[in-house]
Amino acid sequence: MTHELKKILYVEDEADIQAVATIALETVGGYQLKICSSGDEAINTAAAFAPDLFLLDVMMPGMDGPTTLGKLREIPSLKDVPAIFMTAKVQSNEVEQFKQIGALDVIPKPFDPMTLAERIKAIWENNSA
Amino acid sequence: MPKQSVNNIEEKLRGLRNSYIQHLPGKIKDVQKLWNSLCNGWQNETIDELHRIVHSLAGSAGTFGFAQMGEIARSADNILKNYRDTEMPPHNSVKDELEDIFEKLSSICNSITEQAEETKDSTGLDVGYKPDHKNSTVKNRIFMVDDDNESASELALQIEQFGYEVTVFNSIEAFKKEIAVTPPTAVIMDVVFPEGEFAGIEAVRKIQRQRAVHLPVIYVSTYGDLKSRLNAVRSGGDAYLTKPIDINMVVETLDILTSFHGNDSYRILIVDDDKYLAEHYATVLRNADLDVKIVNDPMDIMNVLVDFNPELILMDIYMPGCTGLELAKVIRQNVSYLNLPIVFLSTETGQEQQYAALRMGGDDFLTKPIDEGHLISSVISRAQRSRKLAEAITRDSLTGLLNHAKLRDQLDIEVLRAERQGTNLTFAMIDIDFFKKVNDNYGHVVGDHVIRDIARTLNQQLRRTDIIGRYGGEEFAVILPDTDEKSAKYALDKIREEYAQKHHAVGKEHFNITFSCGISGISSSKSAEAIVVKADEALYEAKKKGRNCIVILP
Repeated sequence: MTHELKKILYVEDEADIQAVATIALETVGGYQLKICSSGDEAINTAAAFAPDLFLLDVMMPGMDGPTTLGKLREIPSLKDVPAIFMTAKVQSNEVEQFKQIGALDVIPKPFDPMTLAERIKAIWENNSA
Repeated sequence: MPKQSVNNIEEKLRGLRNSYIQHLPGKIKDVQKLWNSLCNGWQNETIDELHRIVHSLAGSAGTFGFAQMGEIARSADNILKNYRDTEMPPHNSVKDELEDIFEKLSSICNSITEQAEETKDSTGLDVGYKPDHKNSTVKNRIFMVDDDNESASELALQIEQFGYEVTVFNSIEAFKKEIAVTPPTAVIMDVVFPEGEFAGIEAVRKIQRQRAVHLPVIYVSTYGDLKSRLNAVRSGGDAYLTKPIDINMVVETLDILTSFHGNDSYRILIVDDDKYLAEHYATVLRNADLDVKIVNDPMDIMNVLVDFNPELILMDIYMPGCTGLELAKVIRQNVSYLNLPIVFLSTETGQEQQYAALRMGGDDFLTKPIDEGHLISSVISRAQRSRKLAEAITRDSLTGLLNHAKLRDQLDIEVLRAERQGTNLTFAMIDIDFFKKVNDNYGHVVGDHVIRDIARTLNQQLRRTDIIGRYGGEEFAVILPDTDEKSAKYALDKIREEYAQKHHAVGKEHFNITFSCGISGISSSKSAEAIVVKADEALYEAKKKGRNCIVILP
């Protein structure tokens, strides 16, 4: 990416994980974070927040992560915002699938709250080159 | 945003982990319910829901440190995903496998929650000794501003050992941004920055000017000349330390500036038979952050004096039963209340009556109706002096803890209170192990630091309602109201174990300090005297057992 990563929009339905991610990304990482509990909420609020990055859980009740990303990308101001998926199940062929629909990478769950921010930063910088 | 202290983050994560543990049984129950319903009839919606919960367990359990649970959930996840979108129920062998997995999940969940209960028990947190807000959850936040990152980080680490939470800023700009958002309890500011030789002082001057409340600031500088010091004072700085920084000096200054005790609201007792008026005064004073109690019947005052321990009495002169003047005399008969300020309130404007009030032991005379501002300021200024005076008489000068005499008085009072209210009470005597060696090896200055450090630790770790005293040279005593002996031991054991790990530095040398403790309580000894004797015997026993331990005698 050509600019610095500051704002992350995270779509995750589970409250416990939301809370850990807030510490991992806001407190440890120093990022500005907005969390949405569903794909619908993300679609309604993303444009106003104008994130630098989408972080999406794959499996959610209602709209899943990939579908949410597709809809988010339909919003003109968000069409180029990069995305990272988070999921409990990653097999290498799935990672490829996610990349094909425009994800920078996939972060497997469980994640370590103390290093999640570093990991995201590394992915971001890797794609800056 | 600056990196917050790792301790603080870990503490928050522990909190989240606990709440995750609390949610776990509910999730496992849902899994069981859905699985039972599937066994009774295969339905796509149900399997989707079950898969989603299991999948989310697979992802979340490991994040909270329950890897085994995550792995088992994942095996169910892998099986179940194959049965989504099919009408076909799985073969019996697969059903058995799933049944097995869900049983395992449930038993792991049980052991996780049981373990959580046990660890709570062993820290005493839920046994009957609940730490209060003074405890580690609310640490004093310190901002340290220094462009030399390495030395600042090292100093920050050392200060954090003393129970402060330190955030380091390497530039004045970063500090200014953050202070607007979350003001700290105190600031440690370097004087010289690339922006100028007094840039640190300038920044503080601007911030102090914008603030309604003074922000405690300690300057650190390589230069100790008068001009710098004067500048520092004029900018609103409270202390000026020269580099190389003596960590003990920094911590002691922080302790004073953020003072452990002395921040409580002043306790004011209003004695007035007119309920509405008393309530009115109380509201005015409470709005000024004072702790107010009302007595409408003057005959009730003696019990309230003991329980509430007011720092000032505001009293009407004319009341039924006895006059305020008589009541003041009665109060003054007890030597413990000789220094307690008594302020009379009356519509009486006659000089003669006012002089009489003062002769009877009153400290001031306020005429009703009184201006609210006047009431607040005269009450606060007297209460302030009363507290300072009381502290000078009752506190140990080295540690700021209660002295021996006051602690014994307090024990008498607390034992009476516990008997009357039917509550528990525990008394602990603490003695530093091999303290003489510290003095012999490192000198008395280091010995004094150790004593102050233990005093600080007790102050920080115990509850606000616990009463801590320096009982003798290297001996401390703690009164723990409303606490049984076992819970007191849990709480003090935790402090003892942590303290034994702490390194004390003298130059390049390090040493550790341990302490022994004897505990007794109202449940086994009936008088304050008997409690002290028994705690002393228990302490002796702890020393005999090899020190660094706590003993309760049967």
